[in-house]
Amino acid sequence: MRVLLNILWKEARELLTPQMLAPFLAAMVMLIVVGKAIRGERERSKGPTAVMVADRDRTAESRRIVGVFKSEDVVVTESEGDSSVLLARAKAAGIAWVVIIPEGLADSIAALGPAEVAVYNIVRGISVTQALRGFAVKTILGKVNDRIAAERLERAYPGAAPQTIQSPVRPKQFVVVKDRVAAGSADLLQGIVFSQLFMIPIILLMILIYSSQIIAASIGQEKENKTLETLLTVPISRVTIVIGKMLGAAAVALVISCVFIFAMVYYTGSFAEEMPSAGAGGASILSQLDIGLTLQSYLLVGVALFLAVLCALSLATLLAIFADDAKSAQMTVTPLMMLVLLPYFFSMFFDIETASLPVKLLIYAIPFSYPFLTPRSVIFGNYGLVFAGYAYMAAFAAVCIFVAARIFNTDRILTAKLRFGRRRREQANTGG
Amino acid sequence: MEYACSVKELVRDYGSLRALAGISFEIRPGEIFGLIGPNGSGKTTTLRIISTLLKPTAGTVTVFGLDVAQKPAEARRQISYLPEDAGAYKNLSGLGYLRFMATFYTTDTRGRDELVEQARTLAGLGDRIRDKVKTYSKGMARKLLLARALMMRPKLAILDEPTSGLDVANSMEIRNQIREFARHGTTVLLSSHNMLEVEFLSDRVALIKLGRIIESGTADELKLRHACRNLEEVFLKVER
Repeated sequence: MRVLLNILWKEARELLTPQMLAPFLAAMVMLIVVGKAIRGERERSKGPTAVMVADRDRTAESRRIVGVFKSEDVVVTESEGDSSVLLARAKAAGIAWVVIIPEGLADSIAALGPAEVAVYNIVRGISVTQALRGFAVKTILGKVNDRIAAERLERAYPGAAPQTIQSPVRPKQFVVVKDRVAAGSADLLQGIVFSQLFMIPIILLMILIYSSQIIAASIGQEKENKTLETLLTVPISRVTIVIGKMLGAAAVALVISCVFIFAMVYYTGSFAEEMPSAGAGGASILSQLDIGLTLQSYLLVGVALFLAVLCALSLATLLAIFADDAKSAQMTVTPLMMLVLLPYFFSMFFDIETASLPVKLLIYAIPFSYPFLTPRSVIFGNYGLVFAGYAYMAAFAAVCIFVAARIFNTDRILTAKLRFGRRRREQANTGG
Repeated sequence: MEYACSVKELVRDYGSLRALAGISFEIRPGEIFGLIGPNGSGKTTTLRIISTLLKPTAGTVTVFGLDVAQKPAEARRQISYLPEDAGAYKNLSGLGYLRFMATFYTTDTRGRDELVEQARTLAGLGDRIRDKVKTYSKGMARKLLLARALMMRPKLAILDEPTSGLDVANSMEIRNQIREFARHGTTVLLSSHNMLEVEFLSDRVALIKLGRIIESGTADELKLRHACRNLEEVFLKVER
């Protein structure tokens, strides 16, 4: 244990350098700055929208329409004149919306004819704030329409509820998961599940990629600086060296991932408010269906991640054996990156349950698929897949560690090299 | 008599290239044995096999009676290897590096600290021992690595080009340390293409060319046998 900790300490000291941390910290700062900017835009959009209204009809009906605007979270400036004068005034006052109620609007409404209200939007830029404020004006006009339609229906059908007349047949939706049924829509459920899961694949992807790159870089550096030769002649078992290096890489990957996850959570939090969350309705669906991510679920995902990191470290160790230096070590782990990216993209766009058999087999054969599949499996209670994934990953990692330790026990650790596109040359580094 | 190191008919192939073509020599305990030869002659391959880093294609190597191919773990307890152009971990301090390496040779903190103290004296880097290795000159790094190789007083120290690329003062200091250790019982096997250095240091030498030992003996014996003034002249004469 003392020797293992010694190697782990050395790996952390060698790998956690300012040069290595700088790009990650820069990315973290960038994500936080962008997240902050988005939050700022959102806060600004929450302020009242300024609207210039010109009432050319001057009737009780048109005043009620102006009243609806005033009753909402809108700063209304009333003005007069033709459209060009109004637009010039609005621009000068920094008002983005101009609403012109035309003369004869009340008559058109009374005659059940079409009535048009001119809405001008002065666009200064495309932004989140702009989009949200546009939404506010359209919502107000929608309320005006609802009120007028309701009044007409009440007059025509006294005593009847206008909503029932407008939508006589309404769906009462239910969602079924396995043998449980809950009131609600599949869209809502999908939204809730997505809001709970959307961060997990990104976090898994980062941890897996960092871990494998770090162990590969570590072995590459040892070869490049010729420290590996010294380390291999000290009186400790080669398995201890392999496991010590893996633990060191895992610890460093954990530190870097934590830094990155903090920034990513802050960044994606800027969008999260717009996502359907497990509010009262959502919580009800989840509890009725007995699904959702609990502490136990996160533990199950954590175990899957740990085993996947172990697989990544052991496979990257095997691949890095063929590297000459730190640079080529990064190249040798490219196949591993592909094996991580494939299930990542699959989990973003597809469901394993609905995939074709060849695709299913391919995804199941990749050990890195399981941490991506686990959250969904846990939510939907498919524990068989979760535990089968554990067993597969543990076996895969054990085989890789065994093979890596065997290679470390031979001289292939010093002589093995990948040669691309040229005839196998003799071992160049034979020294004197 | 048990030899510190015995090499018999050692062969090593890299693919179709035969790097060692059946070399044999013995080193007596407490002796400084020099392996001399030009670049690519098989010196480093020989030292790597004795250090348990490479497996021989044929032949045997024993270190204090232990077959290095059969019992590499036991053999590693008897040896210490200093590779040519070896580096230390650049982001560790000199002291941190010595502590890291010393931990592999003792089971307790006190023993480790004693080894580190011994290495610190040997390295002679003063306060610079606390600086990161990446700030060291080549000479300082080599002194640190030699101190690492000798701190545990190995029974057999295998030193590949110990003074390679160093200036005169640093080379002399390292040579003196090697002699001092040999005087206290450590057997030393060193390689160099600097034949004058090996002549100065070694009790006996072997001249190696294209994976074969072409001559061996004490420096004086070889000079007398071939009527030469130094080992360089001997080598030039026998390689023809």
